[in-house]
Amino acid sequence: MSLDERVARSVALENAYVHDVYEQFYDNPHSRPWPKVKTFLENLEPGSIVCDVGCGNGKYLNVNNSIFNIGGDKSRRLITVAREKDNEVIILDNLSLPFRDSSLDAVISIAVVHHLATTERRINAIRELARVLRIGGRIIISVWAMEQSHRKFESQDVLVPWRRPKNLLDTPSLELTSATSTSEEDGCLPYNAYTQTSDTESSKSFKSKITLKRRNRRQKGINPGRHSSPSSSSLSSPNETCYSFVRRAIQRLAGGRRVSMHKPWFLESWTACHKESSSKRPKSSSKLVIEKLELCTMLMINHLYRFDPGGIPFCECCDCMENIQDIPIELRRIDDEIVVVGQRRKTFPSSQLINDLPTGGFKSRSLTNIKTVENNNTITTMLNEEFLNNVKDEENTELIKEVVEPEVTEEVSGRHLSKPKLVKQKQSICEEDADEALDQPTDMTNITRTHSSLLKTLHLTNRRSSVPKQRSLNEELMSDRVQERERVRQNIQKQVSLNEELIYQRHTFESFKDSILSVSSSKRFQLIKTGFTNKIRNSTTNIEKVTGQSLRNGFARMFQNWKSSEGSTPLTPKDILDPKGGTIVITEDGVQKDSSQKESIERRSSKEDGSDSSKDSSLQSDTSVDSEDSFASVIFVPKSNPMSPTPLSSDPTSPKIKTSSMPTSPKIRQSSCPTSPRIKQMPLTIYPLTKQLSSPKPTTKQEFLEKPFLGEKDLVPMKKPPERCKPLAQKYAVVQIPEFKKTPTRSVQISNSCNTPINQATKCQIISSNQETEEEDKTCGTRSERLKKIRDMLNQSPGFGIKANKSNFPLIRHSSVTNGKISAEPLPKLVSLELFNPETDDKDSDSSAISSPDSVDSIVSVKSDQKKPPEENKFKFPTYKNTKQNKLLEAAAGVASSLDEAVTKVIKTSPKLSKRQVRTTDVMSIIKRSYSFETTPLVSNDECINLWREDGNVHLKDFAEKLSEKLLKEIDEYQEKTKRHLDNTSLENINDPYIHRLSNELDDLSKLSAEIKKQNEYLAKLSESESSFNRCAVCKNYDCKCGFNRKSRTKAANATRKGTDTVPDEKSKNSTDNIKLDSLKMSHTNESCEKDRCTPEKTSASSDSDNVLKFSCKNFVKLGNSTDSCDSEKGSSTTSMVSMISSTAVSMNLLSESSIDSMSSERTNTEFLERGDELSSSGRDSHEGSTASLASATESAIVPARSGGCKNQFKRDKRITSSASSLESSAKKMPNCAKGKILDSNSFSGTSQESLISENMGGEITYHRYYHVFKEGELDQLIEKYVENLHIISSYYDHASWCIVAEKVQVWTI
Amino acid sequence: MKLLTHNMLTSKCLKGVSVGYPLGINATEVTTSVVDFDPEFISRLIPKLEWHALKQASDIIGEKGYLPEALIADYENNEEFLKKVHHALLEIEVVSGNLVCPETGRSFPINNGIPNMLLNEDEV
Repeated sequence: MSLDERVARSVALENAYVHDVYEQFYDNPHSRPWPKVKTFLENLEPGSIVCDVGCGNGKYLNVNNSIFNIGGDKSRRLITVAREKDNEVIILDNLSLPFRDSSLDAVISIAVVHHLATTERRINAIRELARVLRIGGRIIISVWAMEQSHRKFESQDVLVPWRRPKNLLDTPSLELTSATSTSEEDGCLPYNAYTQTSDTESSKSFKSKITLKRRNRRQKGINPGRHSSPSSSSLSSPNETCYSFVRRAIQRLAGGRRVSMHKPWFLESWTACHKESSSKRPKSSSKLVIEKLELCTMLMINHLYRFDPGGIPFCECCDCMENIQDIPIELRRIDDEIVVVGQRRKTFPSSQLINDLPTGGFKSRSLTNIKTVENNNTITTMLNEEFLNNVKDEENTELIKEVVEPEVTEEVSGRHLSKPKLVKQKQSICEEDADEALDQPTDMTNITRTHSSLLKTLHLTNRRSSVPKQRSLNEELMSDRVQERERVRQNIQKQVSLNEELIYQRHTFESFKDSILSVSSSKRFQLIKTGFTNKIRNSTTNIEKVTGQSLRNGFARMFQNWKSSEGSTPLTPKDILDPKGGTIVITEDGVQKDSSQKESIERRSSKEDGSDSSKDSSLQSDTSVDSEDSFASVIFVPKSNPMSPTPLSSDPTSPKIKTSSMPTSPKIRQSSCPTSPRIKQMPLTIYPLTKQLSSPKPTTKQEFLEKPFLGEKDLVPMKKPPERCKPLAQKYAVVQIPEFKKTPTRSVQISNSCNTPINQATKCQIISSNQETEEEDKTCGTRSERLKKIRDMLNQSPGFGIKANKSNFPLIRHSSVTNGKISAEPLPKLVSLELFNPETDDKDSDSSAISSPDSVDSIVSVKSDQKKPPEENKFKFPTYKNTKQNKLLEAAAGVASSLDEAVTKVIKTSPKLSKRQVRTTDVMSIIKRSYSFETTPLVSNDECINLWREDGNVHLKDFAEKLSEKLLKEIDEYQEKTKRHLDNTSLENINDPYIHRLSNELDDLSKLSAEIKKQNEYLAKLSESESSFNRCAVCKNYDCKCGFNRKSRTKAANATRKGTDTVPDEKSKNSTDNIKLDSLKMSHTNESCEKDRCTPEKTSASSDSDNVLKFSCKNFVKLGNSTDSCDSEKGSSTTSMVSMISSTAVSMNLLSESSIDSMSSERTNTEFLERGDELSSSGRDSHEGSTASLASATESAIVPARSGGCKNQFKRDKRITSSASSLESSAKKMPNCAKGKILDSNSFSGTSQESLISENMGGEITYHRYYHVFKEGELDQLIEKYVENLHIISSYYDHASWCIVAEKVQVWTI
Repeated sequence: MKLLTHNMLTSKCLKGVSVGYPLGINATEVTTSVVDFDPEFISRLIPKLEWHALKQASDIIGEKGYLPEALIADYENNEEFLKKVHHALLEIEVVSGNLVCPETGRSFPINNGIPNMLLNEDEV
């Protein structure tokens, strides 16, 4: 089982942190072959068949053309890249090379072996390389060195962050880019792995090891700079790394960079676990174990503190202070961490040990680890050894023997490769320790004092710790000298004594010890247990569910350990626990409860139940804590598993537990593993998401502005909005929504009435304008005159409108590829034009983004258009009032006149008269349309189309900026005007609410304008930064712009609705029509998810307009807030964009629904908005989960939007479900990605977007790759000891890597 | 995938497979390219080959009987033969198809000229 689990873990880790990363990896085309490798290849005989295992992009496949190069890699993406260079490539796995034996003349393995997670796998990989090599063939192997001048590793197992290099230039530290990273150390440094240390020093080092280690940790905590030395820090580092990694992962999940929250969680969970473990402990080993555990726990605590950002002094020292992104994450197997306690080894059956051996656990201890092990694991190992000795167990003795005697270990492992060489290294390693050893005692005391409280818990945990063993990933040949062990043991004993003293100081510890020591002292145990349970309960209650789960899990683990310990030492723990069981909450399972009353029964039940519970709990823990545990699980190295089972009594229980955990864990790991690296990325992306959201905000603002305006301007604004709405709706409806037929039919009817769409429309407009003018004349002569003039102008130049429309189409055509269709279709029928227009518009907008020259012009025109509509809208408001009151009408007329003036000014100011004219014509048409609603939509459609096209062309930055400015001005003017009008008109009863509403709206608008400004600035920044890459951003921007336009249109539609309201008869029909149109538009907008971001706002606006402006304002405000929050988060990344899109789409659907329903209930709108926000947030989360999912999420979001759009009569449930389904789909995609089954297109698109965003925004996506960094001589020893048929010719240091050239030799076995 | 590569490939790593050689070829797309002919290179390659496997593959993919049943003696000086071998080894490429394990029938897909020799975890 353990083997399987180990393999599963290592495979999962490699998949998540190696293979998946390389699938995403940016291939640095500029990386050049290392000179040494190049020389190696060039020196091969012509006609040699060479395989580059792990060829990556194939940079070594063309070095020598006189040989036959076969490139092999596991990354499909990289191998495809290599294939494109006309290389002969194969997708293969280093662990199962598809070549026949002795078939290759040379093999190169550059930067490959260090990606394998266990020593066993590394050895197998090298053996496989040697297998395919012919006798006399040569192999060059390079692995990352732990000793790097520019990079410090505190652990050999690290997750090295990789950020997409900017412009290919910056390559932090990548193999592919290794040339750059390693350039510093290009020089070959000949070395002898064996030369280093003297034996004499080793003895000292062992003694001092423990103390040193502690001291080191201490120092680390105190002195941040100190950790720089890899060797010294190695001990502390593993724990730190693990925790830090988990913490980071959690932080990322939480979305916060610094999570103070994590700290308590870890501490609690750990403490809880420790408590349980301690309670479980058997008597016999209790003292030593406890002490050892204490030490371990001490270390653990120290690490925890360090990592906790909020944390106490230690935190400062830690890496935490550094940029998290830049810090390689050091992994330590959970076993090792937890390990710390030696108990496991005591309990471990020989069989388990044997199992461990093959994994290389012992090996790890020996060579490479010697330094690290001494620092990190030595204490634990030493403790374990002592413990074993003390304990009694034969198994322990066996373990010791194995550890001590390489021969034994070898035999056990079945590997005969053991070589004495290891000793030398150890000695050398010891040297360092000796120096540090002196400080230990003091450190220990200090540590104990500081963490005395923690220590208690830790002691408990230590008991529990019996379960795992410490085995560093790198573990190598631990088996060496008994003497050293003895020394270490002595040291440990000393330390233990010290620890005991410290422990005794505290009553709790004393009680604990006593209880533990005295088998009969069940009462004390009970007391302790009760205390623990209470603590646990408190903690659980206080802590969040997650923590509670973790605690529970910990308890479950404790239980398992407990059982195991019981098996080994049945005496105390269970008995104690059982009586308490009633109170004990450790595992929620009824086991304890049942056990509480009767001891004997309890014992059995507790055992059984405990086992079951532990299983369940373990499962739960794995599943429940997914993210957390998953990370941890990722960290876990398979080696620990074999260790976990306690040999003595626990055998039945432990294996079960293991088994249970085994299957679950790998799954979790897989799921979590892929996510975790991405998750890291996620936090960055979150901010960008907000940025994206910001873009929609401005649109919302505009809408607000427009809406109030609409209210003021009765006729004109009214006309415009319906036009816009209709065209949009028609466009969308025709394309996607069948139900739209109603609206299109209406529009068609309208168009029919107009017959020749454009000309008729202009006629209709004229007519309408006449009507309007008549009304206005009633209200305000002068203003009406102005309006008339404008109208006349428009009427006089019908050709302009038509031409403009036509011209617009061609413009669109130019910009968009699909233009041809548009041109052909629109001409015959307005309806068709409308229909096509929206699509074309969208397409145009996208395509237009690319075509800059046209876009600029279009942008200008768009701006003018937008400006005009808001002005009109402003006027509309008063006009709306006018319908009810003459005074209001007058005011409206004045506003309209002012608007007309503004329009004229704008036209004059605007460089391009034609476009402006078109717009003016649009305005006129809108005014005219106000009376003839049906006719107007056609014109509006054309206009809208034009606008859309223009919008597409417009650059977001300029446009947004201008719009914002204009909007602000308009808002100010509008406010003034509205105030004046209100004051002047002295509205009666109605006036007050309107005024309030207006004031509120104005405030909201001002806020929105401010937000818009911010957003504009942000967009400008983005556009600047992204200029080259910006397509996506541009599209988004376009979308936003489109959204703005749409909003304005929707506003106009709203205004039209109001106008319809003025006319009682038309109100209901028009309103319903408008609503439908809006909904249709919404749906269309939803369909164009990206573009539609703004649409939700529009929909909300429309709904609001129908209901009350206040609501709309509120909704907009809410939307704006949400967008603002998103904006504030500025990590702007495509992921965020996608999430935004999805969220917006969802919100859009909701809004459309709400808009439909809104007539009755405004609140629903707000609710929908909120829901939409929530959904968006959830979408964000999901996006955070996996970068790859981004594209999928967008797709999913789009799909639901479409579905929603298709149905005019939207129901909340359906939409919600659709949104939920989209989210789910995104979530589903997430795991798939995690599995490595990333849809190439999606993943690539997502990654590309991410990269672009990250680069531009500064929210970089960081991938982490797993490395096992090799210590000096580690690779040599691996080969010499385990790969018999390779004879090392030379080993050297190059490019921050240890390189070995070896030759395959014939091995004669007798 | 060139036939030279095929000559090296085996499914030996499959569980339960002892030899796994030569792999059968089910080619759905084969292309022929021109590669510079280097007699010395070919003559150096020939000793490394499993001739029967090359012969078999050549018969399947290329022209049947294009290569002789057995490796001729003194091939170093037979340029015509070397060119034939050169063509078979380096100029014929399987772009898509499958490699089939002779013992288990397990097929390894070839896409875009890239054979995928990855094994599932349970196959190792």
